[in-house]
Amino acid sequence: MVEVQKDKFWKALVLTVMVFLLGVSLGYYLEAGRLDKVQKEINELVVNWDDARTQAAYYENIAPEYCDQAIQENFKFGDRIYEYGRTLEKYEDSNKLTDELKIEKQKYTLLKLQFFINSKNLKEKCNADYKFVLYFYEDEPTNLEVKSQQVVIARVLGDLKQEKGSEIILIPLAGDFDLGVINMLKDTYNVKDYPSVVVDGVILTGNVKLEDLEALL
Amino acid sequence: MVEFLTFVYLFFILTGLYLSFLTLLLHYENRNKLKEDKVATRIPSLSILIPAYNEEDSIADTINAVLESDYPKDKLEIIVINDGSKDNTLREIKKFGNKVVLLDKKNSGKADSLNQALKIAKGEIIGVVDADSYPAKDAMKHMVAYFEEEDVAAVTSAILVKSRGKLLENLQAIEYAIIAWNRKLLQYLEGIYVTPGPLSMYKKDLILSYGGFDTKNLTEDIEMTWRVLSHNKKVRIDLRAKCYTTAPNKIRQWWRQRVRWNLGGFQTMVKYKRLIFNPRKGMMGLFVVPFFISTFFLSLIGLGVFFYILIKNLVNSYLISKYAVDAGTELLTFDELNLNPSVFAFFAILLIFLGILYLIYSQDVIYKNKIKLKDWPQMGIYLFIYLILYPFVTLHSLYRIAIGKKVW
Repeated sequence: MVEVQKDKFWKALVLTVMVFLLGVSLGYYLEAGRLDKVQKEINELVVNWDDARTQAAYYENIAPEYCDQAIQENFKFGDRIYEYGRTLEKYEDSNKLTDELKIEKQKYTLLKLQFFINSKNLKEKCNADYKFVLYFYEDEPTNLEVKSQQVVIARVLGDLKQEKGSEIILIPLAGDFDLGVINMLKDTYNVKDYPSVVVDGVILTGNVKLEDLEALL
Repeated sequence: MVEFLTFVYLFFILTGLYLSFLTLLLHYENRNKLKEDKVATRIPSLSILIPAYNEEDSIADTINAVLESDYPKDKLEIIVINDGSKDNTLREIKKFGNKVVLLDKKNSGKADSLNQALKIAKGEIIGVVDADSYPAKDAMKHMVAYFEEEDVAAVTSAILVKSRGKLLENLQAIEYAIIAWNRKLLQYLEGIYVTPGPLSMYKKDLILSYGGFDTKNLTEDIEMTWRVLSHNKKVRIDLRAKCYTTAPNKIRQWWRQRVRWNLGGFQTMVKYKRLIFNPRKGMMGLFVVPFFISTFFLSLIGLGVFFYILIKNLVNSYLISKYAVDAGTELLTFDELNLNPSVFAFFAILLIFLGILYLIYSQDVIYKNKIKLKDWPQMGIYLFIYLILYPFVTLHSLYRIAIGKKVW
């Protein structure tokens, strides 16, 4: 005689719930670790930023002969903030259970905007010849066409940054973040669709080619 | 907001883990009795029915395999049904003279052939053997022992692939071992849901009282098993009883076979859906029917998600390539490679590990083979390529169901 082993249903359920909860907890732990890392990095960036901004103020107001140095420091900060943005994107892609990174992303965007304003000031005060490339993208695109164009534009802009180095300051901005300052910038440059790239006031929308950007620089 | 798809994935992970643990628990706790040494105290009379339609290449070997079995000859009757074959099947059968009973009839399908043979069969037990399958010498003797158990109405065997060599055959050999092993484990839940055509046995008086095989069903073997279960009777499998069958060696044949299985399974599920959660029907109502129905709906959701992601990624890749070419930039960059693991990575590793355990245990139980290093590439193909074909087969089956084309 074979007894129906109904106990296996419960045993399997208990085991499954335990393993599942363990896995989900591990996932939370991993994501919390990433968030921690991001927050630390943001804090460091804020300190770096305060330093760069203070240096800029010092050079602008007290010692204008150090303009070049101020510009270099600003570029260094620009590179760091750009690289950090890429890491943040990857972390966000991998975080499936939590969405706290979104807040950090907004903080990061505000930092980029402050960097943009500082770079603009420096350019005027120090008479620098770098140009601004503002890239407005959609943070969570639902349209596949927009999504794929953004992937390609990110590559094109990466190429451009490598090619032009300190001739440009590249600021990627999530246009759909509901931040007042972003809305102001969108109005200023008449950005209506994503992706859009603004090079020294000229707006290019859709799939942008490297040569189109080069022509504007 | 956590994405909706994340919840869908987690639900599927949960389901996958549950079924894996259920199977592995059943294996672990019954590992010493998977190949029970049941011996018949009485050898019942047995009628083996071999329905054949255009089987000139294999019918003689099938009959010989049954003739060569160690089942006492005075208790064994072989009825071969020529189901209106258009080839030389009839001539091949006639070569056996009076060693077999020949039933020559117009083509009416396998189920009807079996029903007609049932009417003339003299055995207390009926055995069905497909005309391209070859029972091992001792298979039938092992199987009849189970009929001594109270309420057992059907007994099946371990169906294995006859010839190996081609990749598709080898992959099916892996798969058939998993199926046989799983079927044995389901026995401990009274959940064996099919007694497959290559070699299965039934108590004749019972299946006659049930009205014989369902001629409208594409998989009369699944339907008969569900009918047996719905009458609160039991089904057993003997892993010592081996039957070797000709597995499709071309992908087209394989595809047709799997679609037919799906369609027959669907027909059966629809026929017995009313038994869901019926406690009076034992594990049939509490496990088999709910399992099939929930699996069906889960497959629908899974298929939807699978094809949504597949199509989305294909379109995305196409658009990215198109725009990258237009923009004159790289088609692929390593910079975009994301090596940060997500929660799904943990579960994927765990499920792959459980899948590997499945492979190891099933091959060990059925073939008594420890998987060797040289076998792993094929195991890998089985896990990561062969199984991926299933959603496409299911999609084709659903299409056939949707357009109402359930005939073969």
